[in-house]
Amino acid sequence: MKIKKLKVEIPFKANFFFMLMILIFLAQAYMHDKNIVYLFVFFVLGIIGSNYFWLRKNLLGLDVEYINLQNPFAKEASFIHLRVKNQTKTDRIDIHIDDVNFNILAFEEREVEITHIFKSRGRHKIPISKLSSGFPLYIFDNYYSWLDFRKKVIIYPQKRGQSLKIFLAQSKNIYGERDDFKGVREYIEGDLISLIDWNSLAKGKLLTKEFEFLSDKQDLIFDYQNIKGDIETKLSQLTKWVLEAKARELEFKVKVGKKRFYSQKDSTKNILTFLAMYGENNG
Amino acid sequence: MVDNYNKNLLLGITILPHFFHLPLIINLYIIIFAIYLYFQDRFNQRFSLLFFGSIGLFFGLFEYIQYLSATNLIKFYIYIEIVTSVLIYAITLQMISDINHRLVKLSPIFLIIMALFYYNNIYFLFYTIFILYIFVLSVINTNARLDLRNSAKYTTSLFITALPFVIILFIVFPRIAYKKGDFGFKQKAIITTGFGEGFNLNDSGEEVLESNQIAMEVGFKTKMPLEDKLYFRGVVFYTYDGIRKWKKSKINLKLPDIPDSKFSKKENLTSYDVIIYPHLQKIMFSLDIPTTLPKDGRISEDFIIRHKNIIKELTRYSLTSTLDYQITSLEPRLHKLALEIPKNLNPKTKELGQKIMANSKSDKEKLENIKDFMRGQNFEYTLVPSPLDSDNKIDQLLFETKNGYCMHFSAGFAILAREAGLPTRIVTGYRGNLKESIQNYLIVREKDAHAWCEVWIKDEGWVRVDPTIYSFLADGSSPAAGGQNEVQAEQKSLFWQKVSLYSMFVKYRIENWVLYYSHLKQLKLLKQIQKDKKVLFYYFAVFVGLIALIYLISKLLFRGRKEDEVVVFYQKFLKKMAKKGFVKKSYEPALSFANRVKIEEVDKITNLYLKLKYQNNSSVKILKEFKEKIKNLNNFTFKENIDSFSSCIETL
Repeated sequence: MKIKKLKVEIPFKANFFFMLMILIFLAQAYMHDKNIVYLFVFFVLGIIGSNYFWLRKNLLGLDVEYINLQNPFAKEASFIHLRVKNQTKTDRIDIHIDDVNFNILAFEEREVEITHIFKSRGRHKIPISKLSSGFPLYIFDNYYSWLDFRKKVIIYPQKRGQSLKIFLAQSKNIYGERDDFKGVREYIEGDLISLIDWNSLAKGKLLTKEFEFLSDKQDLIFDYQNIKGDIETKLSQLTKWVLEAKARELEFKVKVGKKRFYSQKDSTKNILTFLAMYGENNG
Repeated sequence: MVDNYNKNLLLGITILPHFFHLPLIINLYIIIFAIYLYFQDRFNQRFSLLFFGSIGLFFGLFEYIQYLSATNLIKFYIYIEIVTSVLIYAITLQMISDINHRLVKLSPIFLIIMALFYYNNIYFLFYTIFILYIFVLSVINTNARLDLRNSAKYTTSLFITALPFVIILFIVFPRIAYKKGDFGFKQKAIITTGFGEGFNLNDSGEEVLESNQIAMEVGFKTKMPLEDKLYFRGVVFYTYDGIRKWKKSKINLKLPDIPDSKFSKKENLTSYDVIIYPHLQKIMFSLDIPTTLPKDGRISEDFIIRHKNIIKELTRYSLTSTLDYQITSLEPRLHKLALEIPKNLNPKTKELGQKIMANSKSDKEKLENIKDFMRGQNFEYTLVPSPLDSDNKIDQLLFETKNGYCMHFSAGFAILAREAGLPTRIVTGYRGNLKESIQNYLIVREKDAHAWCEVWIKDEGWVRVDPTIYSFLADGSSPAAGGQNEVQAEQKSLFWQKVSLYSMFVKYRIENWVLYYSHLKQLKLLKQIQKDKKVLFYYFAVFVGLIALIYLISKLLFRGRKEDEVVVFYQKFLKKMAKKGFVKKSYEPALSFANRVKIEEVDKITNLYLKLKYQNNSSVKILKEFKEKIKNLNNFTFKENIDSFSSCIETL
């Protein structure tokens, strides 16, 4: 998206004060018949005038493209990646896109990451960002342009609810006996304290016990129906489990009404997209 | 908006001009505060506030309590001083409590407003522009977080692009013919050095400001006369009302010519051209004493030349004067006028005059005795004379205050000489200053306005006496050190003479076109344009030329980083390629593009480009080769390749 038109924001207070100052100077010039004061005023006005010129020059012709969106989960910080290109011979100084500011030199392009929190899951428009700059004078006016990429993205449900480990610990009757001891392994941060092998710890080694019921060979089923709470709570819980199971490389099955997803054949993206759009496309 | 370091710098440079006008004790307060700023971290804030609050208040009251008098309270500049002092006091206290306060941020603007009341010269114009430059530089430096070099680059560009606005506004912004408003105040700036057709003794003690405005330019056709001969005659005064006013003679006759019979001696003739600046009077200044008359000039019995019209524009005339002369005939009425003394006033002067008369055998001796008296009084030359508030002003001047400037000394001398029986008159005009000369070119400024006396000596005629030479400046030096100046002038090297002349010329041009640009000049310009359309074209051409120059400078300043020259040329190359039908995709790396097009020349350019862009050891030679190959790409034959490319598409 090439910046071809700009809007201008004129802060009233600053301008009022500025006009007042100019009037005082002009009154002084007039009453005391002093060209030196006139000249000073004209210089100030001239600089303000050229400030407008350089403000426009600093923004016009910049090319901003949408690249992608990272961490597209509801109620969390998502990162919108943009590519800003300056294909002109002029360096662009102190460009702002929302709250991010940067310089971009002649014939340079750079990636910019802006943060946005989507309030709900589902299909969303990439929010309109504001490209602006106050350079060089930062007073009296602020030129800007709205960046509307007209792109829609899927925002997954919020990752919220019980952790997978607790779910697995509480579900031993379903997936196997707690006594099916498999062996010990190195402790991984986040392992349940109840699974720590205290005997090894006494010998100076921090190890975690592994049981059959935690094995990836077990058939994990995340059933929408078995989760307590409203729709959003259920979808958030499923999202959390899906992501955690994927991270631990566990095989699992997701049951949402009549719909079934299998981790072996369905991609996480597809499962999350289904969860994101649940209620819109799937009834 | 501006960080603390820049804030202090800005405040420093805006307070500096006030230093020369504020009372010593206020300056002392500023110096103490500047020292405090350096060690600020070591002091407790409450203590600092209390300390500066107290000493500021004490210093202010100590200084300004003495101004509480009726004569002072109507003086405008007193208020300017007080307001500036209070402003500085408030700023310093605010800086101690909260440096980011709005008052501190805006204080440079207020300080400039106050300083502009004092100054009206070309140096201060440049200084204000410099302050503005530093202000903009600080804003850019602080907000854009650029280094100083880049901040200066952008500030300069802003100023350059602002210039056309400034020029247009300066020329066309309507000026109003307006006599300076005083609103009942006595303006300090009303009394400036300069020539006027009246002679009023400054008895109120008001300061006289020196004006650098040019009064005339003189080009001598022969060698420049010595400084003690550079008296340009203006008006002659005879009658004194005993208070302030001196009057001209009413019996002046306008002679059409200067008869030789007037002179009993006429030697050391010098010819010169004068360019006189509009002074809205009829006087045409001539070197003492003219022997010829310029065109449109008429001469009086006092050898005063007047133009037939009021001089409203630059007027050029040629004259010849005799520097050694003797005029031995004097009208009885003029003789009588030159002896008039206000009755029942100045008893001390009267007594002294009579004493000199009684003790002198001849006019010459009388004159020598008066000169001796003047020499012995150690008069102080000052532009801030003491007020002469008694009824006997001349007595007060000669025996009490003993200070003033040329008008005071001439008035005192003239009355004393008359009391001693010597017919005396006062002449006003200009006294040339050799410091303002280059070879045979002399600039006479308003500050060179002068008053001197002419004493009638029997058998010798009118003899010029300059009473100011008997006074001394506060530092003990003489206000008229002509001979020394001449020697200094001669010692200047030719190079510096040229530099000096050039700078004087530039300064003169700027001052006249910038500081003294008025509605008259505006109207003149308008008339010129109405009269001759070519003038408009000329101005327009100059303006367009200026814009073009500004554009070029801006281009130079804003061409981006130097290393991007390679990218700039590569972009040119891509444009050429696109014209030939080979368009590089935005996602396509340079090497892939070259591989796709399969043109030998493109391969070479791409290789050079990659070397220049990614290898640090790339030489100037490679850059030159790279540029040349791109430039010569026009002559490259694409035919074979395009055909093969087309055939390729066809095959597909």
